[in-house]
Amino acid sequence: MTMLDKISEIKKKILYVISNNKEAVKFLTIFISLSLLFFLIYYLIQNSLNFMLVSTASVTGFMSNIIGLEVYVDGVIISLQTMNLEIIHECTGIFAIMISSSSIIAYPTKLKNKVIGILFVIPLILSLNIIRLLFLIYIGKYHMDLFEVVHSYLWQGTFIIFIILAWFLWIEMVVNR
Amino acid sequence: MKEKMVFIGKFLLFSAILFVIWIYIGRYYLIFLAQVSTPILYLFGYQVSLVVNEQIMFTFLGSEMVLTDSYLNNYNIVPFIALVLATSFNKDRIIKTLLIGLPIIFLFHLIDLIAHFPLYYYGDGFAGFLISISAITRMLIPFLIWFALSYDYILHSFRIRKKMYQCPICGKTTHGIMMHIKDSHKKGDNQQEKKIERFIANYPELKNID
Repeated sequence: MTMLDKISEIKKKILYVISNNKEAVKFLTIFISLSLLFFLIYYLIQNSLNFMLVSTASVTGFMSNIIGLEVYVDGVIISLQTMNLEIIHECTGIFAIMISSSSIIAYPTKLKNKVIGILFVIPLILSLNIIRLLFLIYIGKYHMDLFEVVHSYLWQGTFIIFIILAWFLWIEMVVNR
Repeated sequence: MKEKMVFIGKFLLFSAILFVIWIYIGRYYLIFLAQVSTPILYLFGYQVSLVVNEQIMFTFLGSEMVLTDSYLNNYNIVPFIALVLATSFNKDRIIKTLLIGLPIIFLFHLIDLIAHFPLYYYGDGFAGFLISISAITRMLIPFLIWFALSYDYILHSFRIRKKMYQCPICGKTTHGIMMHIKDSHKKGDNQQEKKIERFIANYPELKNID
């Protein structure tokens, strides 16, 4: 078998897999395209999205003071007595919203279900993000030694898990009903 | 419903267990990643030295690039493995899926690490874009690879299927035929097992579903 034959064989196999799994290929293509499109839009207009940084810092500061974690907020900086936290775009949950929305739009279901999904997932991610920041402030104030571990693993990493869970829950509770 | 809840439960359980394990092995993975990236950085003209003591860092042009706390970039391995383990695959398919998926994730980690050099030392715009986009690919990649390698399972488990199957043993018609066979007809009866084998041969799409 020549090299060309092998390439043509592989090509045939790929085409066979694609033609037999059109639904999955369509979902993946739309999902990846939308995620990249959302990211490109974000990348081009990120400076206009600075209001998200300020509002995330303000809401977190407000909630912190309500629950007794005294902090001072100045723009995007949240000052604790022990340290300062700077809110950057990754801290706003915007990337998680992009991915979750893409996975919902790409999923083959009625438009109504997609709208419900997006309306369900955006407040969920924003709320989880505020809880995450409040927890980080608590750790930063009272358990400084644990801050890096909690910041790195327990919250930013588990956000991936939240996104996947939110998608499963949406399919189960909205699409499959 | 039961099948999906079991999947979600298993996913959460594996995520928690692997999370604890990752706290201990994440550092070694980071060292491995840095070691693999060192010759590649040399190829690109960065004569770096990797220093591993309490810290993990590269030294280049008299400055240090500290990696010690950048476990976060590598954490997406955990949800990927948890998704694969929670999926009802047989052992061979779990191994095959991990063998395909883990090198892809590793490649993304490698690109992310290497791209830091042209960005920090020369302000390269494309490297900056690669690092920015990793904020999204970091979350996207485990999910995408899992979906691409498990779509047959996902389409069976997470969608209402119009197709119903008739049980080859008792004649019951149901969507979750494999679950029904597993729950209602105990193994051991050769005649029953032959019927099931013939049934699966007629419906090959059920092959990978336990």
